[in-house]
Amino acid sequence: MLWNIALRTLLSDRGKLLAGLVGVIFSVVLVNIQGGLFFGLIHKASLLVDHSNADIWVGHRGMHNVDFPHHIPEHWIHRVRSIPGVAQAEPMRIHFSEMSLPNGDFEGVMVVGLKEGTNLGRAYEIAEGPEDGLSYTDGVVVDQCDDQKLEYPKIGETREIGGSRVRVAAKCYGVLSFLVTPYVFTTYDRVIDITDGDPSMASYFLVRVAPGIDREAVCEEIRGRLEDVTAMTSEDYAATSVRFWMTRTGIGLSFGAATALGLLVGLVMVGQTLYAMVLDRISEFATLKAMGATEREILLLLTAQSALVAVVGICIGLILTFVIKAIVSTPRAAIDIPLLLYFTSAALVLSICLLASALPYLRVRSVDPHTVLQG
Amino acid sequence: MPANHTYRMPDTIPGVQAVTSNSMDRQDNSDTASAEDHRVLLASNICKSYSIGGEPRRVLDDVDFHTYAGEMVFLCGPSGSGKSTLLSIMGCLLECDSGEVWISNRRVDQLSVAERTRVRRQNIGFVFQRFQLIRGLNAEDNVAVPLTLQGVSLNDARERSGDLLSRVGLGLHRKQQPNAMSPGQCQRVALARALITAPRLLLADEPTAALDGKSGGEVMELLAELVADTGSATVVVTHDPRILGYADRVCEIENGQFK
Ligand SMILES: Nc1ncnc2c1ncn2[C@@H]1O[C@H](COP(=O)(O)OP(=O)(O)OP(=O)(O)O)[C@@H](O)[C@H]1O
Ligand SMILES: [Mg+2]
Repeated sequence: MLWNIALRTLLSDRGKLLAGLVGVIFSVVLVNIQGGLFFGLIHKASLLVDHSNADIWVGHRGMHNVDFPHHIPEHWIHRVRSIPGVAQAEPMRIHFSEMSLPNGDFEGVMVVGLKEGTNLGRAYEIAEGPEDGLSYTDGVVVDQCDDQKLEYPKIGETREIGGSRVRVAAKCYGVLSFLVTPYVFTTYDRVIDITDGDPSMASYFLVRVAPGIDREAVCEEIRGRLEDVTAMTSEDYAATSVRFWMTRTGIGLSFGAATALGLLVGLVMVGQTLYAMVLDRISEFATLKAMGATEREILLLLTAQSALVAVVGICIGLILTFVIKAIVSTPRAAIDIPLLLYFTSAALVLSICLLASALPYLRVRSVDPHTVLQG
Repeated sequence: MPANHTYRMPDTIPGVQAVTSNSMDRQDNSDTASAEDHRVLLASNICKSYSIGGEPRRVLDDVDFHTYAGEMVFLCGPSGSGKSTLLSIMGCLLECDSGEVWISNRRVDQLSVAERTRVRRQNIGFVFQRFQLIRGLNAEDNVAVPLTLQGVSLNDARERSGDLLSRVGLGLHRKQQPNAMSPGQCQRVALARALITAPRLLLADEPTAALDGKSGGEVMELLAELVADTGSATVVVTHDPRILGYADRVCEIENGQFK
């Protein structure tokens, strides 16, 4: 019966119910979209690592962000290759440079050089142009999502990077850096031609271990053999790169604050809705108390009401989140909502709604049926 | 008008549960006098003051009152004389400053809040001037509420509530919302709600004050019929001289004391 009363009285106050639902939906959508944007953005910090096909990243001691390597002598790779359990190790280079644009401006780019004939470090898939684009002598691969920044380069178009001529051989899609700087992929050797770098140095060694080999142990071994390098599993280096931006920029805090604000708005709206409903029905609650409804039953009734509002609102909110994500999310402003976030946000909003029923409960608790029923 | 409502076993009202002399919550302190057995309510030496503007004002001054099962007592008196206050004290909604209240031979004025809630749930039906039906619940569900509070399943409660609504002439209105019913119909629903559990004690505060003369008369007629069946001791607070004919006994209160 309590459920019956809870449901029917809710449904009979349509306007207020709607306000409460809007509060919950708002909360759920805000938390998920905010969180999704956050994860989408922070995910870019480790994109190169996540899609590198490597088990282990080897770089200079103290490496803390994939985009900011400190170079190491290339010939050290032989020592890495000689370690038991290492199936393959290839060097890669990441150098900062500038691309000249047709309008005479320059755009900073990260030139990523990969060894040919291996997929180690190849974080992109060709979306436009020939698969073997990099086999052209001056070929580079740029991202379609950077078209605007790079003034819409066409396939086959020649550009200048660091004063050297390059040809846009193909384009990939969605490989963007956390920085605003576009990635330009090319071959390992061509990076030196383009950027005037030291040909004896590499930025990282990417390692693939043999099946069944403990990656941690290999990392340990690499660190032991090469004094000045660090070796991390891909997961660790991805996390390290993410942590770099989190701690250096405080974006975690700002996104977190926005999310907390969303929850707060939800809390206030649901609390206020239930409170208004209860105020409107104070004499009915007094009647229930007079008829012998216990405090516990009344608390249960109010809790049931907020739970109902919460559950319906959360479902609508999650559906709406899906829709918004599908429509709005692009690689540049990726909304990347992990499954856990859906559940966490739902649980969080539900608990907040239950919390919100405390306010009306306190009001009802203080109602004295004698005074209310007199007039 | 019939003024001979004596206690009889409820065998005629469908949907209303029977009151038996050994049913719940009774603490039999009296063992001899049969009048005491039938005495549902006993209030003695009741005093109650409100503090108004920081100063205590005595509203009830050493009041004694009792009713028997099946009896219908009217409480009359000028506005502010303390009728509603006395009713609330008898209904375990309000604590008195001194005195004793006994319901079915159980002393209730010293009970905890939770215990008094239980006493109300098991023994007392209320009828209010403004009906106080729950918006959003249809007539049937409104009437079913007290039964479900007593633990009856919703389906059973609805069935009995439907039967009782037919009995009060609202058989066709059982699915109707309170705001779609006339005041007279609402008060009939409220009557049914108050009596569906066949309470020992029925307390009605100005049940006809919000109704026109005709529906007021109908409501009282119905009330008399129903309590005759449930055997509830009934206390009606009223200003309405037109309904005095339904009383077995009329008590007049003035300045917190019976005349
Ligand atoms: N909760 C309260 N706090 C303070 N004073 C109160 C309270 N309830 C009632 N009173 C006062 O106590 C007196 C008696 O009130 P009560 O409601 O019992 O009178 P009544 O006989 O029912 O009057 P009416 O016929 O107008 O309903 C009044 O003067 C009223 O102002
Ligand atoms: Mg009164």
